[in-house]
Amino acid sequence: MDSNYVIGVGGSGSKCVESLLHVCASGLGPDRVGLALVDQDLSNGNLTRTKQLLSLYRGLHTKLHNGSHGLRERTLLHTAFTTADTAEWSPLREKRATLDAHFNYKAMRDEAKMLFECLFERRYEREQSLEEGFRGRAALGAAAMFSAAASRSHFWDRLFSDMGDIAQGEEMRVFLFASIFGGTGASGFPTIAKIIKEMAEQHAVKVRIGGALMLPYFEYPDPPASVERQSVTLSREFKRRSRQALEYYHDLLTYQYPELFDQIYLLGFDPLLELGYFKEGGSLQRNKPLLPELLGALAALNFFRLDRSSAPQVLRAGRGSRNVSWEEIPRLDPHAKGHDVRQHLGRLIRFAIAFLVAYYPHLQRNSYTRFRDQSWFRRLIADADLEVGSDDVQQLFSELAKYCQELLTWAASLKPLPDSLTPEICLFDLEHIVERDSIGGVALRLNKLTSRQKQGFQQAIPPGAHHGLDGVFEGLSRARSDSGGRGLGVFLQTLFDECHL
Amino acid sequence: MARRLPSTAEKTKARLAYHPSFRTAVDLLAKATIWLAVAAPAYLVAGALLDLPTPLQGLVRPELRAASFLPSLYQSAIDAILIAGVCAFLWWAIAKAWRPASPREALRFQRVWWVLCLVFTGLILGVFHHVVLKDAGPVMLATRAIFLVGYLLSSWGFFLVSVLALSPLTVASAIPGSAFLSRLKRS
Repeated sequence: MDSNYVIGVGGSGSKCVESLLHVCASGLGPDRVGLALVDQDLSNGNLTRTKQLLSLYRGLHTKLHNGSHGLRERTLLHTAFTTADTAEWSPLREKRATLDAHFNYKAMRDEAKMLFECLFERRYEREQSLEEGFRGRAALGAAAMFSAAASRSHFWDRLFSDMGDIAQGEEMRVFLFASIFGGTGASGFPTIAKIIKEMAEQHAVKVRIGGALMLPYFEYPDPPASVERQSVTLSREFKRRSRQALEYYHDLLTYQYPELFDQIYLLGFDPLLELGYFKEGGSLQRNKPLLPELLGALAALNFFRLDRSSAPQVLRAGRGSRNVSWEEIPRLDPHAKGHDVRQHLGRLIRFAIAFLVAYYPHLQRNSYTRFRDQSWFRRLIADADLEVGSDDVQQLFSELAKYCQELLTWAASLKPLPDSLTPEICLFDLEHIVERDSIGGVALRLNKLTSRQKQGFQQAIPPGAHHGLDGVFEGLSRARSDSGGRGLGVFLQTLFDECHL
Repeated sequence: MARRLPSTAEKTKARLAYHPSFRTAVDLLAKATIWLAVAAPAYLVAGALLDLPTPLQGLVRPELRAASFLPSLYQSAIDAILIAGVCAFLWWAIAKAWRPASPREALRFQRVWWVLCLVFTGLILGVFHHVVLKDAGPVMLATRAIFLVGYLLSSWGFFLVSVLALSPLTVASAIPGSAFLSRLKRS
């Protein structure tokens, strides 16, 4: 079995990993994926959100696929994500890191000092604190990444610890997510690929490297006048920076390392999606999920499914009409009956809504006894010898509810702010369960099962309406306890199956 | 090698075997049989041995309220079927208009079901009291009480069968005895 790895580089890379986690939760992913998140700004809000989601996902996966509660194969939360000791890696880990301190500028010889001064500007590059990342300066990131690569962190050895176990004839597949217009992503994309290639050569392992390179796909307003322009990244510079980086990559991948990447997916969005707010780096930078990140996640899964004999390619995402519907979203299995991504993600979204509004409130410790005599409870929970009031079951329900909330917030956020220029994105219609603020922030409203929510459940995955919560409940009441799974897995598996499109 | 497509007969067989409606139907049939096994003999024995008028006959033909008339078993059965039919229709109308979408709604649904059962029982008792038990002496009262029990069991039996046949298992758990049978099966 091939080994699959995913590495999210920078803020956009983290957000692509977030989308990948949700897509894999729907059952579309491979059995196992090794995962790493690379960012100089370890307090970055995007990175933190993805790390929290990863932790939630892994906890649920362990309990629902390895413990006393079992789910069937190739279903809800199927993919196992593994990491090194920690999921994240930062090139310069020193406290209050600056380029001067990292390269020990004071101890350099005079000739080296002069070269260093020519390459890097003093105030905004050499002496700028790097705790909040490279602030869109790819040259800064490249210097730090190369330096870190030269010192060869143990992080990579731990992440690829099973490299030596890969059998003859099998191969390792690594997929990188990075933006071309930022600092960390643009500099890390080729550098990390080189680190992996070198490691694979040392272990005599065949490796295929793919990557989703995010071209500009969002924009935000300029910062207020109080913020110094030189120390922040302005979105209006994205296109110029991307052009420079693309020229560099073209040279690198055409002449210097033509075999570095086996597959590159270029993704962007035109017109740029409006974020509606400006945030500097750090914990405040928690940008909402956007459609190109979902496409990036699908690109990774496409790469993992590629035939071994497939030739290297560069693919560019595009769309045939102004608005984005499911027809514009690539399918993973071209031979599947219907749109496989829509079917899987649609089922997961419907499962999350059904669980949160119709079942979770009634499975609390203080309320479940009222439903003990109902057919679904007896067949799917009592027959599975499950003590609903126990701490571990309540904990599992609570974690699952949290994951479902994260998923629905993610899906609802993919819809851009209404704007005459921005195309409509009609993948999920979750307006019946969310409220939006003026800058596109999403808050879930799931307190009570209303007739609007019931109708919305049927229309959550456009186009058309699907069977409602009454049909799901009827299906649960008719289901048999031998539908696959054990413990809580029996109930969750049946609910997941009944939420199909 | 091309995959052999299943024949129509095979597909039908598979659909029948795995279709939830088929499994439900078998389940319902088993439950209905149990209820009929309890209710029908009681009704038949009471009607045949005591040879007493039935409530519906008394309602539509006041001259038959006299203790001397001889109702037939056949007439009693028609009465029970009529009452069960009306209740079944009511149930069907409710079930069509209101399909529970969550356990909480099913709970409300079950409560309505119990209220319907109580109303139904009250109606039978009221009619029986008005038609049969009125002005009866103690001996007649005792014999007719036995008939009442048989009649109620029978009518409930028909009612339950009609409910089970029309309603999916969403509410079947509210049927008296199903929880007991389920526990018995598990043990």
